Amino acid sequence: MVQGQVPERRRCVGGALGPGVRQRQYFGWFSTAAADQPGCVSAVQQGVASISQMLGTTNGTQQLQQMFRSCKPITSDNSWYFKFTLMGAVGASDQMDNPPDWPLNAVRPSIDAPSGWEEVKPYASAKH
Amino acid sequence: MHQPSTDAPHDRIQTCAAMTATSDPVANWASLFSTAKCNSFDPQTAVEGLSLVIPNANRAWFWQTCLEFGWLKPSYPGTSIFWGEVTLENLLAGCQAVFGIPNMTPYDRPLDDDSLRARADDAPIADSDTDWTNTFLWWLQPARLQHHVQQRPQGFVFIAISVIVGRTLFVVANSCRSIDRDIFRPLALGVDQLQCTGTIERAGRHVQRRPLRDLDRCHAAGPAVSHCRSPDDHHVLEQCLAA
Repeated sequence: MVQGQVPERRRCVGGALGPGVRQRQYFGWFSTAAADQPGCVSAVQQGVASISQMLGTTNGTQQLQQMFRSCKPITSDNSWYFKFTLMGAVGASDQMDNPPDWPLNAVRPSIDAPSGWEEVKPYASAKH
Repeated sequence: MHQPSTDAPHDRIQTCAAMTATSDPVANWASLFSTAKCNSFDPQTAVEGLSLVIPNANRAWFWQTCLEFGWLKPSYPGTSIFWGEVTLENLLAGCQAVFGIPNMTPYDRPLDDDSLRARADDAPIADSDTDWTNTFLWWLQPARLQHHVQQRPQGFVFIAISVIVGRTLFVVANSCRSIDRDIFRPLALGVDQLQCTGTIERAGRHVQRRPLRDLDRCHAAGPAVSHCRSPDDHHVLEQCLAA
């Protein structure tokens, strides 16, 4: 890994704990984060192309409904949300607890520790 | 719009393993959605789920996403290997539908501290139905309209000290984003303006000033005032504000 990329990656992998990338680049980071997994980025690209093609036809759309177990028909009105959900399932995986930094594991002791707990306890027990 | 949870693997390695499991990329993708009886890909269904005011972690998170963190996830052409047709406007429509927030304005460009402070200080926040989201520095997001604050989900903490000088109520709070002026009502009689310094936002440097007019309108409703304290009862709140 090139030195200097690590902080960027850590910021992104930290996800909601410390988002440091522009929102327009949220899904863009996946191709960088997943580059260490052989064939992953190209598989996603092929999937995007194939699904786009299938959504262009009635038969293809019906096929997608079955494959993805859609509760309701996928239509032109909700196809953006279908894609959004698919993107989320894959594109958000880079901000979970991933090696090599395991950011959530790293953060948790500071919350679990007695001193940390005293800080967050009022938040946990607050009732409006 | 909030993304529904799926039975997808959560980390990058598991996800990539699933996406490369066979030579059929679509079937691989579909395998991430294979255990549910059926999957809702309908935004309206998502809105209905997020509108439930029972203890609802998704709703609380979506509130923070819409109005506090700006943690929405649009996708525009050329910005990723995925589809590029999820606009911020699409996502803000979800915020508007779930929380009844009118005319949200995407503010999708970086802001430095000075410009944010200037905007928070100078914007006639309660004189407009405009709100912002997706600031680059989301933790410095400016204030919201009062009636938005009153709709906020349960579970927020509020710690503050305050003093009245002239016709201004000065507050130092853990977060100006969490201000509920109901708390200040006994102190706020005869006060025209609230000036809040949020310690979380910027260690005391982030100052917001807000007129108190909306709260006055709410409390002018008399007996309905107790209902105004119900943060999630949008209809009661609207009646109260309309009174």
